[in-house]
Amino acid sequence: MTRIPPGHGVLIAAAMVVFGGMMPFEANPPRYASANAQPRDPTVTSDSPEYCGVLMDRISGMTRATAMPPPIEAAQLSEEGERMCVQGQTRGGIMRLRRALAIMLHGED
Amino acid sequence: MIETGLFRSAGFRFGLIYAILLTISAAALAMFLWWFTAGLLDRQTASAIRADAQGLIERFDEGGIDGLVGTIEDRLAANVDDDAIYLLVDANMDRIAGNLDTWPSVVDKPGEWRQFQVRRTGIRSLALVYRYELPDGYHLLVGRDVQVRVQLGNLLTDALIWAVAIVLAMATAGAVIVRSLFRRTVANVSATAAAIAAGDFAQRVKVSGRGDEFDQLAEVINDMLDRIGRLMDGVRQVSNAIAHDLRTPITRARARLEEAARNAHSNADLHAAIDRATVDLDGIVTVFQALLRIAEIEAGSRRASFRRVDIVTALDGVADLYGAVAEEKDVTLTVSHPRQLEINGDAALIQQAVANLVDNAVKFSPENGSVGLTAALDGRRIRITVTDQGPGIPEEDRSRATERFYRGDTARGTPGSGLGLALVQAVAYLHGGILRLEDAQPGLRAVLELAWTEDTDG
Repeated sequence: MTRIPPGHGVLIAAAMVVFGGMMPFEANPPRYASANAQPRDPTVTSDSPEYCGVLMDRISGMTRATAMPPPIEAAQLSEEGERMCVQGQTRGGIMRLRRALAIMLHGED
Repeated sequence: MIETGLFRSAGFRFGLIYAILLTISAAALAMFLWWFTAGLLDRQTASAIRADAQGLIERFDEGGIDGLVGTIEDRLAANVDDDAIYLLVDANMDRIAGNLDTWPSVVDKPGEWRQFQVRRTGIRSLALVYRYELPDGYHLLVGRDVQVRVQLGNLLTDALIWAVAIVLAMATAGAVIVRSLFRRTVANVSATAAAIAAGDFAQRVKVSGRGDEFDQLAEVINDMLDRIGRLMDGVRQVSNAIAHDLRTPITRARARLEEAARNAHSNADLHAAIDRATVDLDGIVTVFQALLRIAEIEAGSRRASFRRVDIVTALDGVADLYGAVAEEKDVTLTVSHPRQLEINGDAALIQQAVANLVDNAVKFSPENGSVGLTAALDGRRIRITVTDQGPGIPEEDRSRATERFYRGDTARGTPGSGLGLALVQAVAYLHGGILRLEDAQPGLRAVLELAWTEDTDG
């Protein structure tokens, strides 16, 4: 077996240190617990039909508070979101309702 | 072809080094890209969670638990990206606000990142959260749904791993090519060396014509082989010349002694025969001494005794010695040189060389002819010129005139061993110069050039 000269060995070790150091890390690297042992996985409640109702109530409340009709795009999104929630497309509907709220809060882009 | 172990093969080592370097480079690039993409995503997620949590904690400090609950609900309502995860519980772990229905059991210690699976409309997804402890025993989880990010990170990682694997395969193929190129070039040189070792001295290394480093190596080797060939030819020639030219006087001396042994009738006859044999043998000894002197000069050992000398003295000595000889032949010897001409060299050798040239010039000059001896400094050379009006040397013979024992047709009938010009040339080379033989029209012009340097010793 060819013997590696000491100079070359140092070079290889340095390369490993440099390249190893490029691995992503932070001061407190995230430690991920195993996700296999959960007896029952928590459920995200903001994906439910009930949450659709929460958002629609917010939209209605904001409309009453401003005493003005909402922007057209917000109204369209709100209507679309409500329809999707009724049809069972909950996450899509929630997304549209959230966008409608964002437009009503911050104005149209 | 000589079979070698794989790692003993230089071609294999070159190829392996190439493959390793290329793979390391590709791996380094892949790691950098990973760090810049998937790693960036991880860092951005963690940063967003921390910033989000910081805002909530400040809100709790300002508005208490009610303020925090309202803020969590506002942020959930505004979460267009649909990736925010919040859970606020009291000291009894009872849910107060947020969008998780239960506290995840894996999140058992504060101040640590935790990743676990969550259900979203019946589908499993992946959440990354950080636990914060609030005053009055409240516990807050802030996190993000990282399923998409993790999938993207895995996709990037897989792609980069495959890329490195492909590069490794290509590097291996490249290494095989490098090895075969190396072996082909080395085999070319090895085959030539083997042929020469077997006795075929005409073999030369093939030059591809690309002008690369291998061609330069081949040209240097071929130049070396040419020089070795010339040296071997020279040795062969000298050996032949010595054997041929010295056999005659040795044979003649032996024949005379044999005849004396057979036919001498008196002591006087024997003494005369012995004297003649002694003269013959002295002549042979002189030739050998001259050969040894030339060999010594060519070996360069005399260079160790170089010192600063004024060769004008040597030139005048030669002129004095051969002036008388020239006068006997009615030949006019003219001398011209500066008052001083210093050089780093061996004065005795220079005098011997000039004497040889003047001796030849006087020997071959016709009666009433003239011989000229001039010396001058010309740039970085001292030029010593000896001209005569004799028969000269034909152009086709001039290149051979400095070979040992060579005697041209015009020299037949005049005494000499054929070593004079060989010695002059050896002295010229020793002093960093050359000997040129030119047509003086009529006659011969012998120009001895010696390298000149300024005296740096002060």
